Amino acid sequence: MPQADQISAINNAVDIINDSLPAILPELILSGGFVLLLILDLISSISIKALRWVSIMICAAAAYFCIERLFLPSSVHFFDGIAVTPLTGLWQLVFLVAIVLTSWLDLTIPSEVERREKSALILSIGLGAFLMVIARNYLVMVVGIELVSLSSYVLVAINGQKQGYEAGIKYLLFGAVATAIMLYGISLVYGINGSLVFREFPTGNPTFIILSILILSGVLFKLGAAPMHIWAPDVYQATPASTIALFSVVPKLAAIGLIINWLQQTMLWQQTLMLYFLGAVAILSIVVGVFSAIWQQSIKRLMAYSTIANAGFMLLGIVAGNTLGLAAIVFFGVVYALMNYLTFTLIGGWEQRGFSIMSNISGRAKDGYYTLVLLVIGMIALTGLPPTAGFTGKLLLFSSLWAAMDQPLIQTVFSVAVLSTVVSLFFYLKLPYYMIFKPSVDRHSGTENDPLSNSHLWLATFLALPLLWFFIKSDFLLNFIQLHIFAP
Amino acid sequence: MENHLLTILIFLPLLFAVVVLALPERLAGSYRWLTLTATSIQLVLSIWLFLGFDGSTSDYQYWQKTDWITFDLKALGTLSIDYQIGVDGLSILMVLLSGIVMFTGAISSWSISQKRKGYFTLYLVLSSNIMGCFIALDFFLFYLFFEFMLLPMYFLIGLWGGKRSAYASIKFFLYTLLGSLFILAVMIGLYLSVIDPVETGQRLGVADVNQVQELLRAGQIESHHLVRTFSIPAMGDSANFIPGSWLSITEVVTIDSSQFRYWAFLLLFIGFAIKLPMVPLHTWLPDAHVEAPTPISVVLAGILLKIGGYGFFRFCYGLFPEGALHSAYWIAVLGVLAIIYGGLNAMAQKDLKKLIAYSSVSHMGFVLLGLASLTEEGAMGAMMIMFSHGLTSSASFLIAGVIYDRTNDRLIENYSGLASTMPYFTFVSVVVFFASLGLPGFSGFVAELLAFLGAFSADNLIPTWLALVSLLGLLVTAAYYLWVIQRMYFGPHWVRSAKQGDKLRDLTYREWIMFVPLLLLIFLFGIMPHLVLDAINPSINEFVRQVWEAGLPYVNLTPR
Repeated sequence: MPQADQISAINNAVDIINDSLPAILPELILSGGFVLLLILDLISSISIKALRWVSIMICAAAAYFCIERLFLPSSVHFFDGIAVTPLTGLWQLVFLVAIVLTSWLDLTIPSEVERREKSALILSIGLGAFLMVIARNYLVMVVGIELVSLSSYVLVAINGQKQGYEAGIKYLLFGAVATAIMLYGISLVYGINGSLVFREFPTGNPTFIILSILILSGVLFKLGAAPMHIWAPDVYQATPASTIALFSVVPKLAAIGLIINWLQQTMLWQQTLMLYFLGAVAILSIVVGVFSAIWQQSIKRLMAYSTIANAGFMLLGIVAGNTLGLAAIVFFGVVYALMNYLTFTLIGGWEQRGFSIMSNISGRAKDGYYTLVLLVIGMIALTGLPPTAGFTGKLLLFSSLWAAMDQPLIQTVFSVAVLSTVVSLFFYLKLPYYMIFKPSVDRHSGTENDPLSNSHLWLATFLALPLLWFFIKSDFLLNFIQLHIFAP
Repeated sequence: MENHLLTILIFLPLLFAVVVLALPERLAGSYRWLTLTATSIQLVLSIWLFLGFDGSTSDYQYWQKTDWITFDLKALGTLSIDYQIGVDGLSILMVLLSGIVMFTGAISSWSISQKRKGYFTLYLVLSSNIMGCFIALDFFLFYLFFEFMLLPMYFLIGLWGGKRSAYASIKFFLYTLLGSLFILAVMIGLYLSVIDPVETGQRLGVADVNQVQELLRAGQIESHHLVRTFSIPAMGDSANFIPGSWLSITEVVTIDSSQFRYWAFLLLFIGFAIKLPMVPLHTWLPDAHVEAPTPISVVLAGILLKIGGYGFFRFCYGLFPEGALHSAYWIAVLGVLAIIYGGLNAMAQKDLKKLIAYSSVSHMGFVLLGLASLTEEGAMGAMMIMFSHGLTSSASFLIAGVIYDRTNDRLIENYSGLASTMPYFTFVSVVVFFASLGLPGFSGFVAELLAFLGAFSADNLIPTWLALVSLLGLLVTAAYYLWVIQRMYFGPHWVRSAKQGDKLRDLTYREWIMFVPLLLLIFLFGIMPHLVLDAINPSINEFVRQVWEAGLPYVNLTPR
């Protein structure tokens, strides 16, 4: 028979869980939405379009509560399992906007093989990302990462092409290994101090750096940072643009959010060894991403390497080791989402016409100069040139590095980052270059020669405007980040 | 009203660019008129500005400052980016030159017939950015204009250029971007090291700027009260540097035993040297020039290169005086190298345009030499060379354009005795080439004379033998110009094919309109150089004085 104090402990625990439930309302909405969409999937009389609208509605509902999170003080729930902070609110808002944009793209450009499950799967990626950024406990973290991963594997594989199956399996195998390594690290940590909470990390243990590298490997896999990036190009190439846009934004930013949280909680942020490791990863990602992208002929593969390089750039803010760096990452993250969606919107439009490699778009500038303008905005934002917010993002990241310039590590990282920007201009400009300078190839007929549809151009314009605006008046977003998100 | 003159100068072309964009293709004929209107208003305004410029002071004039972006850096204080513009003696000539060159370029663009909307929009955007570069007194603002200039230029060279224009334009873009990233790196370091004493004072409730600087020196201002700024005037005052910050001049911060500030100077120097361009960073220039359409060549040689020189004055020398003094010798060596090497290269060219391009490299060497001397004459000469070269090189590229328009062929060996069929054109060419080689009576002469005077009188920075070697440059310059005149214009009349010969008509009215003002100005400033020199004199003197005063205590000068 249980003791009285055991009963009261259980009661206490139930109370805490009950109290914690309202705090995770957005996550509950997404979970409920996921189940709802799965059920609606089965009713064949409901059209795919309707399903996508339902998922947009669910996101809107969740967004309402995420906006609330922006202005509420931080709070910890479920026995240190999760923490809800204004920063998580911001990340989650970005995820929701990304999901809505992807659903919207799917609504306007139906891909060749329509899959009803897509809406539900996208929502579950979102849910996983939500969990990743609120996690304070390895269990929540693993659930989040796996939710994102498993849904991603399926999403890649179900697009009906042979390429898709191959990429899906590759993705799965790499992912499984990364997860296994991560779980091994977590099990060691649990074995050492018997706790799964981030905060209780055995920093005193001499093996701590190995433990943390093991754990990080799973997260870096989601981030797509080198050397855990090998899956990215194949997956990107084999997947429709709307889906990759999501892959390039949501799991990546979630991983960055998770890394920041984890480093702060475990206090590994103060460990020079840790920063050296992350610095090496950042340099490797930037170099691998930038130099591999130069040789690509496939537009999507090029973008894959671009996201790898950008993952490295985001890590720079962490390596800098100051709060300015963190603010810079958040700003850059928001801008990164905008510029990737802008680019993938255009890529999606080309994809609809069967264009996938550079020579397909050669000479296409004639068909629509407006497309070209939008593309150029996207590309110079990705390179980090004014007058786009991409420049402001890089300026802030570089500033945070400058503030810590006395360490040799930072000097190296800074030089690599600056120099690689020049190289990156070379391949980003390749897209406009092919559109303008290369002679156009004779095309047969049909829709191939049409300019991009208006819905594409509208969406791209809608994404390009904030990119320009956040350059001209960056202080709105920045001060918001500084005042609400990194408030003491 | 007058205070907004500079703002109008920057934004007027942008406004016209929007109009050009908005007009339908059916009215394509009006684009060039709109461009001409915009650039002529710019020209009139810049002349107005120059005439109203008070040449007795080195202060910033037409000064204007508005808050633009302010954000909280938390522990690091506040970052303030201002819309701060103004001109002084270092920039007023460049503003005037921009007005003249952009106007000439607009007339020269008359014959553009393809994709007119794109061309004229980009041209106007370029024009606005160039003005912005010279007028901006906030480093961030400058950098914005500096970088945003690259994109229009990339398209203008690439789309309306020659056969290999795609290669040339990307090469131009990559080279300059590399340079501007170096500049960016230093810019970040500077803003993290410099405070705005006025705004910091406002936060502290201290009205007196000197008192704020006192407090700063004593380290009594808490970090989160500091207002970090991109303002160039604030960066120019060493009292505004935060003690112990990376680029503080008062204490030497080192990395691996080499000074931080010296690295910063070097990066800035390379950044602007690519733009200038300085040998051995010049290889983008001949390619870009050869492939660019005539008006863009004119703009490139006439004004874009000067941004490099202006950057030396305003940023390298103005902000890092001890670096300038320390490396004066090497800068002079590089300058002389550029003069000789550029000149010899020019002599070896078969393409007229490439010859002029290399002559630009050679002339920019004089700028380096004059500047390195750090004497009033030298600096004045450097500034004057930039101005004079802006006029002569524009005219030179127009000359190349005249021939190319008629025959699509610029090879020197394919022409001979042009004087007999194109007498007026020959007259114009000879005048321009003589002005370029620095014949007395033309603007180039005064400029080069001043630069040499500087080089010879700067005993402690530049050894006399170096100055003597640089004189050889004059000989080389004279040689390649005279030789090209002799080969192309004199001798028996001959062109490669009779068909081309028929096309070689003399100057048209439009070409006269382009050439006459340039020639008049070349004469005017050759005979009465004081018209420009007087205006910039106090600023240049102050510039040289400041470099010596601020830099001397921190360098060890061994007489060479």
